[in-house]
Amino acid sequence: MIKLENVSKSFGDSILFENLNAEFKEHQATCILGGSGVGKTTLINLLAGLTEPTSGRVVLPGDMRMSYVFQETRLLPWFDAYSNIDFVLKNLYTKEERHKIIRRYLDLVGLLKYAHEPLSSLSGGMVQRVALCRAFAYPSQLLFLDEPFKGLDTKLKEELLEAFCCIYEKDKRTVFFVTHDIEDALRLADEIYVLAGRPASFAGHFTRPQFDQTLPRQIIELM
Amino acid sequence: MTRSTIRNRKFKQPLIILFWLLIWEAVFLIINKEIYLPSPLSAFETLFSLLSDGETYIVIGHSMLRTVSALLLSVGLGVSLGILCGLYPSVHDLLNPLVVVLRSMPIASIIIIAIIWFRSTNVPIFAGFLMCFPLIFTSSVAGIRNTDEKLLEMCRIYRVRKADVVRSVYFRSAVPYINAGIVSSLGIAWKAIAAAEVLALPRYSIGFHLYQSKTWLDPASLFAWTIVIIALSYLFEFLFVKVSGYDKTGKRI
Repeated sequence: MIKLENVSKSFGDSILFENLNAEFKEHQATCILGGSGVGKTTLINLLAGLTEPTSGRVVLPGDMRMSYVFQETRLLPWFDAYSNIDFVLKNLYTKEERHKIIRRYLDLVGLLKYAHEPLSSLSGGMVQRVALCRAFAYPSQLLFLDEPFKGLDTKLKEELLEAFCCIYEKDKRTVFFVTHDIEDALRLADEIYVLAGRPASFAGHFTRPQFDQTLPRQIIELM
Repeated sequence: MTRSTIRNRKFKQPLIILFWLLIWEAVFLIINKEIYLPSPLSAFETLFSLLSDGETYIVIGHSMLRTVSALLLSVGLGVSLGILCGLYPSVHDLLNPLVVVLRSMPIASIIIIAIIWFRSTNVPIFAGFLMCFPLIFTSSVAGIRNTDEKLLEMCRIYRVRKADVVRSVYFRSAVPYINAGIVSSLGIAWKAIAAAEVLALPRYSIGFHLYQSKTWLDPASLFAWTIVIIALSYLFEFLFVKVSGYDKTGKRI
């Protein structure tokens, strides 16, 4: 279990969360759904340890390796796709092992033949797929995705969603993803937490068996 | 830049040079005293006679060697200390006063100190180093400090080793800054080396010949050697920009 225990977070006078509590299951995809500015990114940054709570604590089961797909890809622009993935695997595997892993994941997202192309020559969707590939190729127990499909056109988004589903099915790990898009949440998540209000709190919580046609309406009302 | 703009510039540049040569000639005609200002013709005549003399190339070779040595020393120490200071603010606080003093120190003082400390042939190297080092150091520190915090956050998430972060993130981010620092110091290196050679007078040096042109009141020779220095300075800058792929402002060309 990954737990939030009375977590509060404020920036100056602005209180984002106050005494937030939740328990998230492992080995499933949990979606944090909410409108813009509600604090979704801050919440997964708290879980990832990128930001500290003002009070309360985040409890993880041990020292977990994490990977993160940021809103902006955060790839090293001077490296190609292969080297970007190699960069994060360097101190974990031998060169031969890394080579196998990188090729396998690049193949899964259909980018193997672009492995050594400069990033600047790849399309936005391809670069996003490289970032996704890096996150999955890294042997993390916890994977965070922060609006990875934001700003992409329908075709690119579809490409990326497929890439995600394809890798996730093969390699089930604990995933937290943030989105404001109900459709994406219903498609990818095993569990949805709706974040709303100011200070924000979990206004709703749904697990996959409960997903039905009325759910989008219920979620919109909560947001 | 469009192709027509480049063609336009290529066409304009010789005209601009010609314009300034004509101004030079006009000023010469007004003053009409070779001892104050030689005509462009006599300066270039002297230059061509210099270039047909084998010893000129030995002299140029020695001065070039000193400039390259000063630059290599400045780049080696400037970049490594710059990275260290960019990463560790307390080391920067310790070293920065020295760099501030060096940056505002008159070149003449540096040369005179160097004459006391070193053999005449090494004085220009030391002076060139002290003039270029602060520039390269400062640009390296700025480069490290301007590394994208988001990339560093990514490295923390993926637990990348510090050595890899320094090599592949900090250093690579600082490369455009370092290159801009090096390009600016190329011209300064030549100026400092020439000034130090004039005062230290090593046997084979452009500065020695500049000094002689003063002794013999031979401004044509002074101008000819000055043209050599300017040409070498441009040559260095041109070669560096070609090899590094970055211009003076740190932009990729």
